[in-house]
Amino acid sequence: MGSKGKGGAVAAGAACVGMPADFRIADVMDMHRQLRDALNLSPVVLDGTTVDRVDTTALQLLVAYQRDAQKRGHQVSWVGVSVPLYDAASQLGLAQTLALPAKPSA
Amino acid sequence: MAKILAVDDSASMRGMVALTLRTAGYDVSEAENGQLALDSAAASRFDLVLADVNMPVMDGISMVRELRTRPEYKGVPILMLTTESNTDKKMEGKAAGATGWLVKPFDPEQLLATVRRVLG
Amino acid sequence: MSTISVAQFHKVFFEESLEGLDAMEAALLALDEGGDAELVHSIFRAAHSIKGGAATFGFPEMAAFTHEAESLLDQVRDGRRSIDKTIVELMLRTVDCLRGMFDRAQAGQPLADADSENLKQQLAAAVGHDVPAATVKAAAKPAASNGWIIQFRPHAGMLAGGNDPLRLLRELAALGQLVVEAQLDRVPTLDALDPTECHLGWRIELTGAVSRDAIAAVFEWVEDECDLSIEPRVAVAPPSAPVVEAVAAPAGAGVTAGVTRNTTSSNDAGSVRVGIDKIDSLIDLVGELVITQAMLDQFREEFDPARLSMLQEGLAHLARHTRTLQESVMGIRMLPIGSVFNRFPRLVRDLSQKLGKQVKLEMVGEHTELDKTVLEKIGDPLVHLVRNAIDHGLEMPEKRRAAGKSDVGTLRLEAFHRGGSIVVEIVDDGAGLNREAIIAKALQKGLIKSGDDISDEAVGDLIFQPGFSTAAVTTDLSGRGVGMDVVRRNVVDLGGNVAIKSRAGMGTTFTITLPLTLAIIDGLSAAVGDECYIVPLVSIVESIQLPADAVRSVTGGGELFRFRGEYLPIVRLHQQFGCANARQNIEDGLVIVVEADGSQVGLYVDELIGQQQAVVKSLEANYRRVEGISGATILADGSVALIIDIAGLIRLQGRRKAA
Repeated sequence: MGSKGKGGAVAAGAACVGMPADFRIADVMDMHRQLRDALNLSPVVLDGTTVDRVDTTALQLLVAYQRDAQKRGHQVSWVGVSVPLYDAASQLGLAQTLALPAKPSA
Repeated sequence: MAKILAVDDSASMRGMVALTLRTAGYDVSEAENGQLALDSAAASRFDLVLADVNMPVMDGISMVRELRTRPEYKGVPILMLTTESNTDKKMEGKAAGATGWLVKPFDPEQLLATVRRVLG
Repeated sequence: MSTISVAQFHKVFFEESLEGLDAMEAALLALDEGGDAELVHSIFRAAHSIKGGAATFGFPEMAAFTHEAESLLDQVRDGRRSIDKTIVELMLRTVDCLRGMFDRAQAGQPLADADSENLKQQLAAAVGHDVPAATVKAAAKPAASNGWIIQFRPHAGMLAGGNDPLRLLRELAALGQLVVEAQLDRVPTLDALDPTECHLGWRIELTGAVSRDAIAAVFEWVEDECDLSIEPRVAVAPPSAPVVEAVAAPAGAGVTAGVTRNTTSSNDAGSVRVGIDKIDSLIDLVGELVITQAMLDQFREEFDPARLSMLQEGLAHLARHTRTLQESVMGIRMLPIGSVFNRFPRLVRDLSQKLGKQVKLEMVGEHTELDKTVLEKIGDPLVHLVRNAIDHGLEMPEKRRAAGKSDVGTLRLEAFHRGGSIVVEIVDDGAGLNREAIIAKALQKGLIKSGDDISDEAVGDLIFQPGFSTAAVTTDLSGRGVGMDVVRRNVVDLGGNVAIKSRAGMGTTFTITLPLTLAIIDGLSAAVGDECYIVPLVSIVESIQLPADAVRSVTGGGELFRFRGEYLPIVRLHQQFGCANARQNIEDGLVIVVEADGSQVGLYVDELIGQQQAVVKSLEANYRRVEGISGATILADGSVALIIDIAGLIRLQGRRKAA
């Protein structure tokens, strides 16, 4: 878990939030709960490397989480993202907002 | 391989839809009314549901309404197979939770184009 | 792109549509007697399915026609119009017209004709609009621009409905270059967020020569689920660049081209829909046979007399299963007579209205099953008898009242099993046969010489004589040149018979007795020289041995013998069919007296072998048609025996006599 993501060095002891392979509306409630729990933690690293399928709900959820975490002055960074996650975020104009690392070579 | 449920009381229409989609490599199940479709949808999870509007036992609109109350079918594309004369049916279907519609008559190519569009 | 021909679904489409029309007709008739909303729904559904199928499977004329009917039904369904006699009448005509279209579709002929066009106009007039002559869609000139600004803000529920903005934006990206700016201002805090709702919005700049319609098509399904504006980025004159159309074909784009209709016509060998339960029981039986076979197989290598009882048991199993298997296979050809009865409510309604009579139709035993072939051929005789009962049997209301009967006459159709036969009865409570009128007519026609001492049975039999008709005025209902003689002939051709029972003032009962199946007949096998022939049991009157002096030769080469006071011709089967080594002297063989179509002849054979059930094999299918032979069967020893067509043989005899 302590691996380095493109988002920068991960502080030792950071909480890591992983994401499901199918990160879409039908399974979004579970991630909502995990991210609400993560709001109490800092620093947090997000691992989007295993996401295979993603929809707008997933990205909206990440947007809401990151914005709230920033408001609390927490540190959030990425371990990495999968190609589907990256493509979806950039299609929706959210890649910058989410501070995604560079698109991995597929 | 995406799983698709084709719901229509007309065997010819259902057969055409199923054969077209199977030939294109989809995993297709069939149901001949809304009630049977709900049973199938409970037994396995489909990536797309194509449903006729007018069917005996349970019509397509009621089926969509019921399907959308199930958490696992939130956001799953459901297309109504409808006819042009039924503009208000399109809206009724939408209000019940349908994703969109495919207007009859359609040929195999139109069907495939729409399914590919929805399933990405 | 895949090439799936829709023509392969024509047959299924025809079948389900014809069933739909039957259901529609039944519902209309029920509605006529005051029905509920569900009836209207089922009628609408039937029309709707036919329209959809017709359009999909390449029958645009049928789709256009049905569209008008459907529109009218839609008005009824919505309560915009109440159902009345006129609409029921119009819809019944629609059903008839569609049946005609299906007939023509199956024959590969053009679907529309003057009648259907006329009815379509009437339906359209009832709906309240004119049928557009030819829908020439004005080629809409799409507003175009070299770029668009799209403001797109989904409503909260759009995601749950299966429309993902991600998909919509991808579709837009396929049209041209996109610059996407997400609007986050309405996204609530994580705690307050319902993650299945959508609170994002987008401003999208699309560069490219794209028509507004193409963009609108992307958002077609979500028009009422989002706030959307599509504005040209820079207003420009109509472009000279080619317009890019939407990926998805627009709604209502033409019907499949190149559907070949002929492929499914002409090769209609007939099919039966079989219930799964019947198939399952067959599979079970075959399983049993396999087990029995394995059991008997043990005796192949060596036979231990100690196990004789086991062998006997195995053979008993085999016999029982074979019999059950035979019955089950026959069962596959069996269909309920209800499919024939179904046409009568309509017929009775139309006829009684036309004649001003009041008729209550009762149908009993619709589930009684009949061989498919019998079923197909029994329809016309039944129609004739039903017409006859309403036309001649049941009286006008005033006459009934005068006779102390209810105004409403009762006509009952009943089917049931009796022994190895199916019985269909047509019972009316009308006036009964008019004995005097029948006798007078028969005298006039020369069918009888004297009107005295004629039994009621014989009077009833008279109406089955060729050319007999008692109607004082030939109505257009029964006066179609088809008499009761044809009814009897049709039934006899099916291996059955018709009987009539009548009581003056009380009514008439026609009883049709039919064999369970045409695939098996009960017959008497007879030896003729080296050959064996099967004589159907139903045709046999008696078998007799004649002394040589009982036969008289007549000029022209025929032989006659006296039987129950009449002279009957003798048909020597060995001469008829050219058999070698047959007996020649009358006293050495036997004469089987047979009857068909009211005529009797004596068949001369060597001897009788015995009574047996014969599985009928078509001679035409395996060889060619032979006059006087109805088919062949395979005997227990593996040899072939021919089955005699008694009616055909008698006709042959008649022609010879006339020649």
